[in-house]
Amino acid sequence: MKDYKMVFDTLYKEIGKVVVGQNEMIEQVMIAVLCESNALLEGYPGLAKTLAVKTLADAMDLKFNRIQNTPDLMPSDITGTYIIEEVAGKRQFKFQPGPVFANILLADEINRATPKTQSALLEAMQEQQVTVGNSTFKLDLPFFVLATQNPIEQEGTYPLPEAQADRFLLKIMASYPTEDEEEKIVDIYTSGSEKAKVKILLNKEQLLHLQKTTKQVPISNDIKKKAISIIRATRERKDLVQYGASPRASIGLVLAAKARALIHGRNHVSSEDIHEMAFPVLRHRIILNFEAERKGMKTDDAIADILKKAK
Amino acid sequence: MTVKLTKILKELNSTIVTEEVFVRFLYAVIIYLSLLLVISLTTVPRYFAIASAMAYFITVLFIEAKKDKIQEVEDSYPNLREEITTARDNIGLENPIVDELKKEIKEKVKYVRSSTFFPVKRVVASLIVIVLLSFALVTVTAHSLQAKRFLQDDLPGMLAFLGQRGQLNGTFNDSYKTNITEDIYGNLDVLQLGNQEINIRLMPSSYEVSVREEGEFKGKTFDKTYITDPTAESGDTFEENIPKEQQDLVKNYFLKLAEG
Repeated sequence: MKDYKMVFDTLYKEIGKVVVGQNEMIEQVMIAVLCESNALLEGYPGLAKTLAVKTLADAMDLKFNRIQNTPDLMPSDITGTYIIEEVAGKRQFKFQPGPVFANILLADEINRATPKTQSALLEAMQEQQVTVGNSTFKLDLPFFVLATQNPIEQEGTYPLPEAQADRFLLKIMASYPTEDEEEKIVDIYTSGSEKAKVKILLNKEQLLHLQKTTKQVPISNDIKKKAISIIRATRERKDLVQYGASPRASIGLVLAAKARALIHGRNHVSSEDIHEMAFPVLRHRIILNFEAERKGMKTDDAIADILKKAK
Repeated sequence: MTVKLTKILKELNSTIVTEEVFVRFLYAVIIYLSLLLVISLTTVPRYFAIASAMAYFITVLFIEAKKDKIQEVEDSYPNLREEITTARDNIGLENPIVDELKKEIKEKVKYVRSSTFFPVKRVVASLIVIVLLSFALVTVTAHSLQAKRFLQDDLPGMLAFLGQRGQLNGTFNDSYKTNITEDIYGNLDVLQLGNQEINIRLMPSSYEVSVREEGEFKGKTFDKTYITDPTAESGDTFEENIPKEQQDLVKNYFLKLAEG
């Protein structure tokens, strides 16, 4: 297990050459990749969200594509479409794959795309395949979607419905860098020095092996029950929560905890893993009631209160 | 041949359970001695003590046997925290990570000492209580103390004595220090010697005073001297006819001797 820890530490160190700070964000993105799931990334503009994901893709030798969602984006712009191609004097339809055919797909500002376009992407996320016309095309594995949302500029947006948001394993919050980190960022990007290149540390097969290994990390019955009780508490705490998390959250919490244990070089899931992963797993799955919002509570505050009572 | 993890965990659990059972046994002995002490002061049958102690011990034996002691090991050894329970809950799983976890636990468990879980303070306290209870029990049985008899008989007698001692002090001489009751020495007017002159012969060898020579027997006769049928109608009886004054004299004589 120490070898696994060493791999991830080296990976973070390599990414750190390009992306300063955002360690927690990168770790949680890695957790979502290991869980074979997708993540929502929320943060203000300019926090290196796109850069971090692209650098991660480079370090793992994975194909990276980016989609900038706009209100006029069509589903075929994501999935691909048939084009007419002339081959040896004959015209035939040829499928032109869309940007979704990548290993890591960054869907920027997903809340700006229309519901129809959002559905096309969500179908690809869920089924890991794309249906165009009568043909179904399998996506290359590993496949991971990172959808970002801009917390400001909400005008003219189409917020993801809760049912769709539930399909994302984590909601990762990107935060501002510290003063030292910001100073380092300025030094790197204003000194005119050559942009650092990231070494390839993992390949597809190794990543698939890590994804398989993640599910093998054992968890004790007590900790599993604790995770389930936390999720159930989100449904029972009517004093705080209007709508709680679904059983999908229970699966997500346990999986995310296993991935975190693997990244930290532990051969078992600890209570700390459950506690730490509860926030990104739950913050997009619960809706606070009026009373909690009136008190000025945020979703993370409600989750913290639930965790406190669950001990 | 590597020892299986299940066997190691079973041994660990049974060692800790055994230590706890020993402590519970001491508690059962304390219960037995306490009840026996209380029962000794009453007339309650003594088998209640052993029955209660045995009932307690058997009950805790069943409860302790079912308890999971692995949590105690994890609490005492932070490096084993959550590892043993995880391995135990996934004992049937076969994958590289679980195998590595089991191997790691086997290594770490070697440093687990059973003395860590031995409750020294509780054992010492129990032994002290047992010794004290034993002393109390020996005291009670040696003096045949009984609460009922003590409350009903001994205590009133003691209280009465304390009350009478105030009255008696004004009549007796100060040299008379022994306890006085009416049973042995008779009424107070016995101490009046009187003015009657009597002849007493003292035996120099034995200090016996023969008062029988001083009086005549009173005879009583039956009408018939032979038995015609088994039913006795009358007969002769002889009884002492010692004058009361002479009886008193003898009493006073011995009284004086007691004084001396």
